[in-house]
Amino acid sequence: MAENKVKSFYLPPDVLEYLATHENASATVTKLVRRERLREAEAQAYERIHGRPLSDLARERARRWSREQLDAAAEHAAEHRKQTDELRRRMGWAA
Amino acid sequence: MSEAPEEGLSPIRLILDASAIAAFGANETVGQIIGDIQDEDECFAVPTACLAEALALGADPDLVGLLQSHAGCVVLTSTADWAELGRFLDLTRPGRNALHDVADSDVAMLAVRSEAYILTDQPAQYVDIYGGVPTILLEKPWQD
Repeated sequence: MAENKVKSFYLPPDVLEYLATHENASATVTKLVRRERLREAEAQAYERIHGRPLSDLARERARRWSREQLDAAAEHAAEHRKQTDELRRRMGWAA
Repeated sequence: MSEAPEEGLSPIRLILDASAIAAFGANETVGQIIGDIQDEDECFAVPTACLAEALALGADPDLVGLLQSHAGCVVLTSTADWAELGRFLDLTRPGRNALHDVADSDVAMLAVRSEAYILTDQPAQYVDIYGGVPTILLEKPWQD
């Protein structure tokens, strides 16, 4: 039989203050908790695969890399906007 | 796979191809970038053909399940709109008697339609089909 586990999460005071004024605080908390659980599961998978935990340095590099790549992709899309709009028009999609 | 997200759903900003799906869990950058996408209230897509290919490449089915459990994950049926895909293949054909790979074209078409980026370890696979498609080269996991 599966064991029920109770996990607690710490929310900083500024987050609690924000949630108090949020119209759908319950949904926001659920989303945050779900994201945190998925992050933990990913970290466990990483450790299982590599035999060592994901370091803070690697996390920081990944954060920086992600931001740079998303910005570069947006720039690429903007540079090709005209051709993409034309292709979208020929496909019958709104440009 | 031309289904757009249902009305009211967040837009698709990123598409994970088979290589990116297979790297999830082992490569910290995949989890980071899909987290960043969701922080912006946007979705990421995993086409069914890419899911199948990822499993054939040796992806852990449990990790694929974990990936799909993300709130921002949209699973799209590949080649569902074959007529639209046929038109896209025709418009992007490399020569009079040649066509690009159907599964890759399906992913490229979704990217053009959704204005999304493709996360892959083989950007040329998609850029060869249409040069304007934004691709993100999958990083190798970093060593400390």
